[in-house]
Amino acid sequence: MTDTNQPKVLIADDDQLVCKVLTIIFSKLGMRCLRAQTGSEAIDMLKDTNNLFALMILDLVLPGKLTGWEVLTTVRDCTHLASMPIIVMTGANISEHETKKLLEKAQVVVQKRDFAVESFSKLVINMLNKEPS
Amino acid sequence: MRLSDLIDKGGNALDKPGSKWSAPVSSELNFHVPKPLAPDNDTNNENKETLSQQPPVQWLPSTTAALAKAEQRIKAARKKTYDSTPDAIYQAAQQLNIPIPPSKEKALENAKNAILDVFTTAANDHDKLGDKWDKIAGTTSDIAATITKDLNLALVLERNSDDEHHVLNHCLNSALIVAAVAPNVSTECGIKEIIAAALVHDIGLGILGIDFSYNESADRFKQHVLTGVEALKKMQAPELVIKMVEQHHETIAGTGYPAAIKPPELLICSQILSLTESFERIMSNARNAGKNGKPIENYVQKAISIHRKDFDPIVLKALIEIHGFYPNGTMVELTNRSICQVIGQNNGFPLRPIVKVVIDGSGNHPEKLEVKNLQEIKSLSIIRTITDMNM
Repeated sequence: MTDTNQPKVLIADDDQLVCKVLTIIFSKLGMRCLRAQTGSEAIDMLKDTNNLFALMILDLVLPGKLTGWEVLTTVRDCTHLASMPIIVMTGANISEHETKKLLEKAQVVVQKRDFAVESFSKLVINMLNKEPS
Repeated sequence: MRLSDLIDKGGNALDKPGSKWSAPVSSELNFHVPKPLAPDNDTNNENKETLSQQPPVQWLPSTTAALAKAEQRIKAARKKTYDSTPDAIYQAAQQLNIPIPPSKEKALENAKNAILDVFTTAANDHDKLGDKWDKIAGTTSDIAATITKDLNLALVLERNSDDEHHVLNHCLNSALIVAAVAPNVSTECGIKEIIAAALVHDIGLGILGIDFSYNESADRFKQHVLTGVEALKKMQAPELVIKMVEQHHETIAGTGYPAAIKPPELLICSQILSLTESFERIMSNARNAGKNGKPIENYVQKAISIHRKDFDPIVLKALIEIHGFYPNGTMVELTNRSICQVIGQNNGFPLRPIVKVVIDGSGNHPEKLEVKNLQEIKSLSIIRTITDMNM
């Protein structure tokens, strides 16, 4: 049964398999995932004040009107979301320079090609000071 | 802060310079690096001692080759401009016991293999064709499902353009286009039957061992229709499928072959197959012309102008009504390795939309809006679709 008191994570990624992997990892950490498949959907969910997210996972190359960059800017411009931790997860081969620019708005940039369950779990634990449930 | 910094802070130096694929990482990426066998039971001391007395593991040549191959794959993956689901994600899914869904790519690969098998049998072992129709029928369902899930035709068509299997790819691509065109017209049969007919419509060419480089007005080329019909009869294909294949070079003006028939004998579903297969060839030729730097033609307009008098207007209209091949919002990769978002369409040029650069060839997100009209910049083309709007 879903515990409504569990901290929520918003996963903005159109890739189903990535979302499934992340959902299982977060559920092991006692967190509940909601999914947005496009940038606009993610913004709508974030603006809904009934949804307070402890963390956002953001893919950069999202289909639809808004890319990950635009979502990132919108989120950081929004007062009540400005402090929400964001992990950018991307399959794009972005430059060092671009990574640095992203890190001005996001806490971490994870390359999907380097993804590993254990290291990602530790990353989340370290970010949120969370113990596995 | 980057992932590696945080991990290091947590006391687990996964990302130390020079040890990128060292023990901790290897254990996580264990599909890349084979490990020596471990004892079945850790508490078995005798077994442990035996193992510790063994000399260091010597990799067999095949293992070394596998390691080298794995390393090459890692390097290749690193060079890739974009990979939405890299190996690392599949490995994580495997580790978490998540069933990996069959991808659209897999469905198309299966379809291609099924047609290849049927074509090969038809060409080499005619007598064994009897049990092959089931294979085509299964493939038909896969294609119908693929197109239902994914109307972005370019996404699937671009994967089927290798020169080695020209006729085969033509059949598969025609089936994919038919699946998108057929729902726009009311016909004598179901969509699956037209898809099935498209999959095998040029089986005769395979049997005769010729392709589109052959003189199309030659009798031997024209013979492919009846040769295909004969093979389909042996396969006990449905009657309507055989009829469509038999009529796929006929026109409403009665100028086609092999029988020069006209409506009502010439079915609407046959006309859909015929126009679609012609459109696929125009697109395929234009794609090759584009590769050679020749001007890109308006595919839809060309198909319509060539066949204006050949088909019923409702069939022509159905082709025009195909959705944009790259709908707005789709992310694509261009020949200059940039990642772009489709923001507009050019009428009649479904493969050359207007795009906005999201990541340039150097891996940077442009500071200012950078828009490119692919119809105007002929040197740039779309290599592949990265995300698709019809999820």
